[in-house]
Amino acid sequence: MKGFVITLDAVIAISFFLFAIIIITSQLYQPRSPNDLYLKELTLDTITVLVKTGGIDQAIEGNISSVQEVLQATPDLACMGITIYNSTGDVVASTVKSGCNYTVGLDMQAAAASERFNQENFMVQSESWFKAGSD
Amino acid sequence: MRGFVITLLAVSLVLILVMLSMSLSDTQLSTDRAIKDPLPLMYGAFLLDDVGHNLNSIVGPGMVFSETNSSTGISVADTLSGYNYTPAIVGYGAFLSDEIAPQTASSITTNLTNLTNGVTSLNMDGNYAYSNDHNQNVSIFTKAGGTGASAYFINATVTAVRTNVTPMAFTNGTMNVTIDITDINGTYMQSGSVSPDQQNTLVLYYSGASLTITVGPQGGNSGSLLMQALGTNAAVSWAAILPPLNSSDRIGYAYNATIDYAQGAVEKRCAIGE
Repeated sequence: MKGFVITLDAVIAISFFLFAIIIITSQLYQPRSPNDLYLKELTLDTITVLVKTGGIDQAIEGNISSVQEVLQATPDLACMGITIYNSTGDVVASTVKSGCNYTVGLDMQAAAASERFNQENFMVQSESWFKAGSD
Repeated sequence: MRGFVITLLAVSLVLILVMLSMSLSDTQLSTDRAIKDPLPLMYGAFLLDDVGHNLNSIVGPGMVFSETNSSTGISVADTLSGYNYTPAIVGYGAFLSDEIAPQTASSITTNLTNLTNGVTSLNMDGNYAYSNDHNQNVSIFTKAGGTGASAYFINATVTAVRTNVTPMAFTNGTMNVTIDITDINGTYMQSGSVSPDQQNTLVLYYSGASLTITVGPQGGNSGSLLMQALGTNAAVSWAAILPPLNSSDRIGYAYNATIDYAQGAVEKRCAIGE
């Protein structure tokens, strides 16, 4: 009987110790910018760069290389796709960062901006997500 | 009895740890929320900048602002011509509401009425007013109480043959004025100083047309700039050296048009460009 009590006491003590370790480990929290916030900033910055440098206008004219250059310059861990629509909803230009495939996930961020070119209105839509395994 | 006390202590410690864990977890979630809260605001700010940029590409003018400890600089490039941009801005307003808003799960309403009568009017740096009436081909830069401008640099290009000139009379005042006109005849330049409280006018005459540049009071506001092209078009650009901004003023511009943006809990109503 005494042996059983000692064993039970040891089991309870070890369980208590393990429980405490698990809780302490779970609290090793370091505040960081959430992924979606990072992606949103990246998306908006990329659109701004493309609009201000004339990359979107060139893409509307059929030269998508400037857009691809900017997309390639974004961080390796991020993927991004840019699609430009005209005012009737037709796709005028579209490209995805090389090495990336469209994936649907919780971290995908989308944004849209307007652009005026040759007295016409266009919509620039951007989607960004993390490369698989980069999170 | 001793066993019961030990068990009670162990259970109490575990409970304390659980409560501590829940508290820390809640703090962690609060921190995440605080970081993520600006997400819709970020897009709202981006969209408003984007709209200001595109509206500027429709109605102009080109503007550059600079600021030092002792002065503020405003440079404007515009045209004195009767172009009609009303269809473009009406179409752009509808495009924002009908195409951009649904894509961004937001509501966007613009009030561009004040820009559809051929007059571009905007507020610069909080207090300065600039308007370009494309019906009359006249632009005015002024400020209630006077601009305080210490210098103007004015350029204009007219594609016409100059027939006569009434030069600006310089009076050794406190405001320096440099004018450089380019037309088919070549270049006409003037440089000197004038009083900001007196009308100082340069008129260049062309065949059945004229370009008038006046620095001085406009509507009782000293140091203003008025440019008018009659019977011709002109591409104009000018820069003004102005007093430093008050601490409450911000460098920039805002059109006499408003935008209402709403996405979820984020609602923003402001002047476009602000």
